[in-house]
Amino acid sequence: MDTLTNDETIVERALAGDPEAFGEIVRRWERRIFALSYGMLGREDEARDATQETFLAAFRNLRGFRGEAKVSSWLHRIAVNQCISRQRRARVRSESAIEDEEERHAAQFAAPVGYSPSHVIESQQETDAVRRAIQTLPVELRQVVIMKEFEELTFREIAEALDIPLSTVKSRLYTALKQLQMRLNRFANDAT
Amino acid sequence: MNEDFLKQDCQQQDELISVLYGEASPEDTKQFQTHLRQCGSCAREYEAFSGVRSSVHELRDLALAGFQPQSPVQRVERKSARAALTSFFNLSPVWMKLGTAVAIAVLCVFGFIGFMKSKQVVNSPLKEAAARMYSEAELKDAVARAVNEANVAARSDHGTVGSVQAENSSDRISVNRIQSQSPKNRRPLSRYERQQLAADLRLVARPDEDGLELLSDRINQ
Repeated sequence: MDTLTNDETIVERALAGDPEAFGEIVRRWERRIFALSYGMLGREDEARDATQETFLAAFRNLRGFRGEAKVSSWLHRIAVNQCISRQRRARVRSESAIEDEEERHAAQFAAPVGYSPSHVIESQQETDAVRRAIQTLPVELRQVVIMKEFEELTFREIAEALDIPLSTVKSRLYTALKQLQMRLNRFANDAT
Repeated sequence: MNEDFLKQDCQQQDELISVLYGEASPEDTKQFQTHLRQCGSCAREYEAFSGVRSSVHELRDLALAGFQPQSPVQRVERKSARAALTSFFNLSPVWMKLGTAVAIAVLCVFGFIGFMKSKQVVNSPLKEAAARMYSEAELKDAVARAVNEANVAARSDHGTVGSVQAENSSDRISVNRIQSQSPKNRRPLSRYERQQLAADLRLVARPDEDGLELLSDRINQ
């Protein structure tokens, strides 16, 4: 795989002291790691912080990267750990405060031009429902959904990143989609 | 909630997921699509999952629309000292440039003077002597020698006065007297004494000995 070869080469350059090399890794993976963080955390500011922390942690532990796994898998693992630890910290805080922030955050999405207010509200409600449905999934299910849907990784890449068998990735994805479907149905019923 | 949605009569979950995400082989995809036409449960599940995916994609698109790349590890351009100084001078006003130049010149002059002084101090015998360490025995010896020399000088002054008075009658100084003084106690000879001694030793030609070849000339030759 070209990406794999390039990533490894770039990491080697970074280890050799090339100051530009790690920036290249960041540019290459920043968007995906942000997507993963957003999916895991459900909030843009948290996702942005988690993304930064992920790359900082990766930079600090660059010498610990032995090339046994892909750079992407390595980064995803760091990102997932960052998100999980952030969620643990968030749980310690007041739940009501988080809910308030989430409500405020849900309204900050910019509405596409030309959409009617009812459509915007409907759309916002729908995305908020999806976000809540994802957030309420167990961590192991949420990880695979985010990696598949947000990052568009292959089953094999997810298996490598999470160090689980390919069949486990598929079964977790199946269970996750099923639970999401059930939650979204429930939200839809509550709304009506 | 549909009842048969939860039923898992068909154990084709792996195939469903693989086809749903487009990761099944073309052959497996074709087989599963054939199965979907025959199995209502799998067909509904496939459709429901597709709906969930499109909802998740909406959320993803909204989230990533607000994403702005913000590299956490930004490269900080580090100028060399020379480049930094050059840019500093380019930005600074003329009076500052002149002031800096004068200050540098003064510093250079003082530095040179200081360097030369330090060199002189290093080479001076005083510093060498000061730097030298004396033992107690050496110090005692030096003091004793100095006291002895002072005594001898005092004695010789008295003797010289007496001898000069005694020898006023004679034109020649007794060579034996000078020779009898030990080298340690010998006082410096006066010019007259040195000339007399040289004449006695026939190192200097007398007016009547001009034709004689001097010993020193012979040695020098």
